[in-house]
Amino acid sequence: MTARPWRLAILGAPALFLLVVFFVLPYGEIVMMSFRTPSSSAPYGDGVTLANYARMFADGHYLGILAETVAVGASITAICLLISFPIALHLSNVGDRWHTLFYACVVSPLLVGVLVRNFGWMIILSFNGPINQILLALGLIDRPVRLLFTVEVVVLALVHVFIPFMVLPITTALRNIPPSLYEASRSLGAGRFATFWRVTLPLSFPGVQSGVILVFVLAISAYVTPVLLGGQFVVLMPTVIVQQLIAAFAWPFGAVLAMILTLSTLTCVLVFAFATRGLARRAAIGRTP
Amino acid sequence: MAQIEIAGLRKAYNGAVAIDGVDLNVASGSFVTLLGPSGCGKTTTLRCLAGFITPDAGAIRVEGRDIMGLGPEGRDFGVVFQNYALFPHLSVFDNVAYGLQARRVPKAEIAARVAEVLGLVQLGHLKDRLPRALSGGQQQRVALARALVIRPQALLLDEPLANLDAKLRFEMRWLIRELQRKAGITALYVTHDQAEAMALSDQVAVMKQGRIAQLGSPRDIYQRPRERYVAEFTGEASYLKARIAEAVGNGRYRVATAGGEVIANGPAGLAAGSRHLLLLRPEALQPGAAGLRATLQGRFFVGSAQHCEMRIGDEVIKLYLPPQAELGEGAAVTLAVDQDAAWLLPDEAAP
Repeated sequence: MTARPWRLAILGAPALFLLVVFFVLPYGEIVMMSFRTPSSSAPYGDGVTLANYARMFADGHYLGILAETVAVGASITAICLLISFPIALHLSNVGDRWHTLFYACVVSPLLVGVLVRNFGWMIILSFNGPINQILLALGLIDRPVRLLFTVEVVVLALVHVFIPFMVLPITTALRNIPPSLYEASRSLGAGRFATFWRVTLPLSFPGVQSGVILVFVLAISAYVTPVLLGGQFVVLMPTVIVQQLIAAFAWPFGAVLAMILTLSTLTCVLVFAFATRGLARRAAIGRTP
Repeated sequence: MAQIEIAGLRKAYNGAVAIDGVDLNVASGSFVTLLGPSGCGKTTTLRCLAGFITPDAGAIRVEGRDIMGLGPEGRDFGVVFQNYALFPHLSVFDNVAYGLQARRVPKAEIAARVAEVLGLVQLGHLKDRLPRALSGGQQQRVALARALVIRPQALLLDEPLANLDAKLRFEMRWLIRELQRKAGITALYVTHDQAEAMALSDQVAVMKQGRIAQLGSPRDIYQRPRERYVAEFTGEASYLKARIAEAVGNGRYRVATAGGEVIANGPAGLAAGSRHLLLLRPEALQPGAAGLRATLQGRFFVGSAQHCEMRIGDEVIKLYLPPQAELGEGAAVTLAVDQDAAWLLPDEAAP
């Protein structure tokens, strides 16, 4: 069957409609808004200006927050990768019978709503919460310590919820590696470690790449968790953007911050994808003739 | 190059017996094939030898040294897989160099040895390609080079030609045999293709339900099979019920069949009057002056010959006639039997 253009158009129409209404139009609006003058009676005034961008780049405060946001996102991604790889390795090896159970365990952080999950963390980490009580009982501390509202806790909570996004693509990549490659490697004289290093790791890279990009993008744009668990002590870009939009009612400047965050994220992802393109291309399995 | 001894090898998967007491001696430098249908245990035997699976019982010795305690990386065998198992992310050169790098061979020597072996398989010009840019036959040659370059104790080949088309399979057969002879390396080969087994091997072990049914030279297993299973698996075969009239020499008998009496070979010491099956390969029969009386039941033309079915009493046998032979259906034919190619088998159905 040859696909006729009008048939393709009909099939693609719903997706295209959603994309235009919920993605292209709002983004266009943000881009446009970022070049407008502020107004006190409407989201933005009639004038067109570059002053919002000038303010952003002149003020080291916002660039500092941007840098910290990228650093926190990168740490979350790195920690996620370190924790997820062994899990993925295990998950790719378990038999069919246990497979579903392990999968359920891995995605369990996603089964709890974002608010419930964060309030859970707040209870656990509070002054008289279980962690402090355990530390007290063990005699490791002599009075409760402040665990909440630190950047470490934000990182911990985000790592917890983003692990599935790292584990699942890596598991898929690992399951795509034919077992005979491991046998070939071993029979050629490479031990378990050498086989892992020269076969497993490089061939899992397509999964690692997807996982890293997914988690990084999610981590950089996370809002609820930094606000609830970081409070006023952890200030990241999404928080600042929302403050500008809602609290300060400075929509054009908020739009500038949103633009900068998006462009920074995009740059990071592109640089990463470009730097690792050779590895990803070589490791792509399944296109053998 | 090494002599390999497999003794009493057993392996079961969840109660299903895959191999059930395999004994096999592979002489140094010889080419031995495990031949059998899928599920007969041939691949399991090879995988036990390679160290990919641990047998439940039995011993494997190389040059008299027990290797059961060694992992695959310690056994020093070159394994060639059915699906080639080339590393998709490494170039042809790096695939072949892999085993040498694992052995920490100096770089300059690696380059020289890889170049030499790639020359042997005529792939020197493709050394920078990735495997996916190669044809199936080229990939299999890389796999062969990768296994040979480490100069292993033995070459283990698991249906290496099964994924290739017929013409390529034929060429690769010659290449494998030539490389094995040239290197003087011991080889154990697994296949379900009897022609491949016979063309390549010094010795063929026909496997049946986890055991070796018969081990012998290709000529032996084809012309003097020990049982009907082996005869059937090694080529086209017809059978006639036969009763031994008398011995006419050592291992040579006059036998009575529904089509008359013929002279046939068999194991020594068969008793006169005992019932057997007379194995007749199609090429052992020719229309002649004296022999089996048969009627032509059907035939079809295949170009190089006519495949015919002949009725003898209530039994049917197959033979090949020259393409130009003119015979009508129902014609009476006398078939001369090539004495060296008629062989007596135990009649498993007889009481």
